[in-house]
Amino acid sequence: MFLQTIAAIAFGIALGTFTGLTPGLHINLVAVLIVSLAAKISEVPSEYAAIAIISMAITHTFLDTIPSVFLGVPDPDKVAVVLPTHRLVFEGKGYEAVLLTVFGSFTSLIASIAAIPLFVIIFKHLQDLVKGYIGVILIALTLLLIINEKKRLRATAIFALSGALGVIVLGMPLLKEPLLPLLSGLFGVSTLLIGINTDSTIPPQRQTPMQVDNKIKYKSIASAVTAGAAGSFLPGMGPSQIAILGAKLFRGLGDKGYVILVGGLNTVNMALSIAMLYAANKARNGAIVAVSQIMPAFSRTFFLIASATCLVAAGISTILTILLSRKVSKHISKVNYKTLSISIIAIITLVVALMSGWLGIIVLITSTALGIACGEMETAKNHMMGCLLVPVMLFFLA
Amino acid sequence: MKDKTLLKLSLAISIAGMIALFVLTETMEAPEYSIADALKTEGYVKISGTVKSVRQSNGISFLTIADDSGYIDAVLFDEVTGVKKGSTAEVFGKVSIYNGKKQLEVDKIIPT
Repeated sequence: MFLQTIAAIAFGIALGTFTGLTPGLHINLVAVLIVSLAAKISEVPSEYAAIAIISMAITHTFLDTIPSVFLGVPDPDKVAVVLPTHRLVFEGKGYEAVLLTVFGSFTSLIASIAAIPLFVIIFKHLQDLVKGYIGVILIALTLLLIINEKKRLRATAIFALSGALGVIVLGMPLLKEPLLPLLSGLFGVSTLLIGINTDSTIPPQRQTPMQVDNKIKYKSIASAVTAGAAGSFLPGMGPSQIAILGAKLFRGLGDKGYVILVGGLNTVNMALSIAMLYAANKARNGAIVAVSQIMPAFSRTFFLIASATCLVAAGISTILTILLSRKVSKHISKVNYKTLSISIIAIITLVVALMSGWLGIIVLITSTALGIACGEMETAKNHMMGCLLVPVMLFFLA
Repeated sequence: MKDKTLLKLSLAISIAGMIALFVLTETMEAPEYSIADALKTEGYVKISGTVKSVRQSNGISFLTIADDSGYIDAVLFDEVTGVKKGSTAEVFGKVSIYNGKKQLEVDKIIPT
């Protein structure tokens, strides 16, 4: 039993490393494959398949830091779309950006797991209270995010177009894995193509240690856990949007604090969605939907095993991410960015063609074009989450 | 490519793509499967068969559909109307896995 659990965790870490390092390859897709495989191989008990998915999901939130920091770096002149992580990359501190993110992920995960008994009680009581208002809350928060922008009309246009695309794509019954081409185009391929078009180069990177005030560290972790918990009730809201709202609430985080917050949110979101499944029987993301499909009865014992899995996967992922980012930061400025980007686009296109067919390729082209339009309009990418938010809003308001 | 040209081109492609996807959704037909073949896939299918049982609970309908090749459990997240035990129907839906077993998540059911 113990050895099988360790093997399942190790398998999940290997998969999470692969999905995390491959831009555009989402864990939901691999989770679906595991569910399908588990159904075919009856010798593999569903518990181990679920452990592998949880381990993969947590690992992914650590490893995906590397491509998100070092790839898709925009034109530094486009101030509105330059993220704090990219500002650090321009200063030659990409490695520090990875350290800050991993620090945020690991410490926030420990804090959130320690607070899980409290969250379980809150989730159980709050779930019924907010159920009827989720659509309204999502509209209010979206308006807040748009008002926060300097170019509000552009942000509204991108949100509306992404929403329309999301409604069409998620309503296509014959399209397999609709999220794969939709999200890969909006956030992956488009960013890489913009990078190729602007000839963006990455300056030589230094391996500087993490330098951040202790007060900022604690504040960022507190905001990651609080905002991550609040985000568990808000389907369709991405970590980047919750991070913006969290940074508004906990002011004075600065660039480095914001990077810790985003890193923490991604992992907390995943860990707390497991708590949400246990406490309220609600699956908040694709990976957890996959877990709920193979583990319809989520016992207290399995919940404890799942929490321990999160901790083990997080510990190993922290080491893996730091070691790999050392290598990447050392060599990234020497890599031909154009060739690398084209290779990644080719891989994404191939995966989409295999998983979603020719319909998926049309979705990929459409969503990539919209992603490029968003970048060219110098509008923050988080407004493209309208592709999920609008369908979710319509579902809750219907 | 110049920024303005790229913006115009990308907006035009995204809007044209959305229109194309919308038209395709409205006009494409789901492939018809026998139940035995449907049980081997995980996509969206159309099956024709006889309703062997219907049960309603909390606004959810549970059906069993059968044809010459076998049977499949189906779930409709709504109250089913127009079909009863013994009637024939065309059923559109997605084959998914629940509790380790294949089931049909019904999108549309048309009595024949």
